[in-house]
Amino acid sequence: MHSSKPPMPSAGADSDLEAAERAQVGTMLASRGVYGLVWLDEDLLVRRRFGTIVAFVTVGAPLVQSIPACIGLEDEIKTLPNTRDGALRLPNVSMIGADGPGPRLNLAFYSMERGRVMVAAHAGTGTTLEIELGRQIRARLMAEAAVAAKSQELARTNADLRIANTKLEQFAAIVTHDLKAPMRALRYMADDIHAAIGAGDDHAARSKLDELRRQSTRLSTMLSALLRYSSAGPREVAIERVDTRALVTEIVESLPSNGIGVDLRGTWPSLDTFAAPLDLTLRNLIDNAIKHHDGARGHVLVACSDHGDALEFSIADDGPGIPPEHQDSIFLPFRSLSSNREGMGLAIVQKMVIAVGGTVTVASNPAERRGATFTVHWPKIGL
Amino acid sequence: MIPRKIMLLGDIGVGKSSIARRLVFDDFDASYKPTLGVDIYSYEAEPGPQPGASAKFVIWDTDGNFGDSIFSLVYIRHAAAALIVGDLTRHATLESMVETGRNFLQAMPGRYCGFIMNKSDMACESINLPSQVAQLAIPIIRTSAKTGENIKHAFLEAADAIRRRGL
Repeated sequence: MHSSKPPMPSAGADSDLEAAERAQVGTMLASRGVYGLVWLDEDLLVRRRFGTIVAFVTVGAPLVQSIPACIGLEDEIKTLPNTRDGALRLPNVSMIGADGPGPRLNLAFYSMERGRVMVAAHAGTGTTLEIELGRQIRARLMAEAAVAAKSQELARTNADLRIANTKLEQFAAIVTHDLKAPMRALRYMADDIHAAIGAGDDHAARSKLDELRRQSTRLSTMLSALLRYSSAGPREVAIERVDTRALVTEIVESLPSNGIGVDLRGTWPSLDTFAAPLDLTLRNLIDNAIKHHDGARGHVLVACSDHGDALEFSIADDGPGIPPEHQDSIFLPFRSLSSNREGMGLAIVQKMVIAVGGTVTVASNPAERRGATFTVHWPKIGL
Repeated sequence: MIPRKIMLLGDIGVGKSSIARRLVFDDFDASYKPTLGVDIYSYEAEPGPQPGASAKFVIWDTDGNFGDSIFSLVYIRHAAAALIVGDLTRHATLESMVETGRNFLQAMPGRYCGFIMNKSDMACESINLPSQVAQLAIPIIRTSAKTGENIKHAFLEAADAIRRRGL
């Protein structure tokens, strides 16, 4: 095994030992594992040194200047008992300077006769091979820890990716579901305009054109809101002042009535809230109440009440109702009680409502009474 | 001015030596080389705008393998402060950091103790800290020895506390 032991001590320039004596003393000390000696006075100024391993110690200067490891220990060193067992030991220390690390030393401080204190320094124990082995074992442990950390990071990235994919799918579904109906309405308006022009009814054509322009603007607004929602997350959607009555009135007017009358009741305050999600939530619920109605005529009651920290919206219809066994699954994506529907509306509603910290519930029991009532608990912001 | 002794404690591989090197030499070596025993650095903080803000430190960069045995060894004697380092990318080292902080305050009452959460350049913003952190009222600083983020700040905080407490 290769040894890391330093060369035998030789006297520094300040040593007053003869060369032969120096060699003899050096051999003797080295055989005991001691490679350097420093003599100090009572004030811990360095008076003499011996051995190349302590060549960095400045003679005539305070010991702490060369060996800052002694800082704070001065009083202990000065008061060491003058006994064989009265040493103060500082094992395995290295002073790091701008030029790199100094020698790794085991330091021991002894009290000498006439109050003098001697510092004995000898090289750190172990061979270079043993030290290198120790380093490599720890380096391997650290590498294993780094691999584990990378694995965790990869798992986290994969989880983020899965969430991102899910959001992307949800976004695509929202776009498909909520923009399709207004797009269809635009096409119908174009047909109506075409028919009005064919019939020479300019007034009707202009009226439909105005309606088409309004609907296309609303579509654009919705699309922008959805894009913001998709990229920023629901909590970062713009907060706007919303007149709830005006909002619901506008929603009702934009939907085909299909013979279903819609009434508004209750208290309809204005509030600062997540405008786009509230619009989409109420629009979906009112639209569902109308389009899932199975009668030639029907009635939908939309009510709002102020509960202090939240608004409660209810949308009650007198349609076919929802059997209790379906009331959980209707909030899942792509679930619809009608075979010709996409089944995304209520999933989107629930996602919106949960995102703003609210709840949406359904109450219906067709076996006893027709109709279903959806209740949305919509928290106010900043309360 | 008498230099004050600051211990750098923490598990192996959390970056204690890198922190010391960044502070003293303003460099960073990405290759990992474990500290065996104790490495000692001297550092003099630049005078700040406050009177007495300059400070001399002797930084004891300890072998992470000492663990809590450090409290029974000669190395810790007369330390004015300890900065205890955890690795933001390894939660176990943060738990160990908290435990070491608690033990330091018991072993060295009245001394300054700060938590350094290192490797902020590699960690995400939100970190679940061990629940006991809040009970200890020990200041926490996120650092990166790689970028230098907050390294000086952590030591200047320690220097300020040492000065205020007359340690």
